[in-house]
Amino acid sequence: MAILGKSKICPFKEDADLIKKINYKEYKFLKKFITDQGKIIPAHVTGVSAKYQRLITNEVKKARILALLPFVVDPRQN
Amino acid sequence: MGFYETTYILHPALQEGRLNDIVKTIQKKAEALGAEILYSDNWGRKKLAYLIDKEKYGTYIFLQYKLSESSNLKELSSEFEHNPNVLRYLNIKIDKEDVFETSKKEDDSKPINNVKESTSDNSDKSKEPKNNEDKDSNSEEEK
Repeated sequence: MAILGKSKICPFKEDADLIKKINYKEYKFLKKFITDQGKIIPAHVTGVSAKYQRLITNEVKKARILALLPFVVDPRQN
Repeated sequence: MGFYETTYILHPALQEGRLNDIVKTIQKKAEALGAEILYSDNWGRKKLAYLIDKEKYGTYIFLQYKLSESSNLKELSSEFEHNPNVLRYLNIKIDKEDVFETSKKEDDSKPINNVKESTSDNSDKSKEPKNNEDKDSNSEEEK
């Protein structure tokens, strides 16, 4: 998915409403923070601050258990 | 004592009537274990991100409840574990502020309303439409 710009400014510090969207139920929003292969994008790429990166990883992992997000996507299959 | 939420995935081959029966029996079992159900929702049939028990689709059911004794959560989990119709479940402990309003449209972004709900019911009814608008605008942004 698209990396939120390439800015080094944390998107959650600019818009506080986005913080509430860090939730496994908002898996469509969390897709912005995983790659096409399903990996969690490191914070130094997205510019997310450490505080919110911790939340994101936890919520992505919950969404993966419920099959809302993939653990892995094999690029050869698509 | 604590507040919990459970999301579980039901088998895709279930017909609607049978599905509702299973949802009801699970709710009854939860209530028998001392759970006070505060919110329940059916997210509908969704495509799974990966195969579970060789199934591609599943029906997502979402529950929020209050347990008087947290030890009962283990028994409730075994209920999900041994039910052949449940493909997957996830229990999460939540704060009281995270509980959705009982109205059909959910909105977790306004915990302040939940606090006011206990004091006056009338004011909440006037706020509900606003919440829905907020939710709509959010989903547009996602697209």
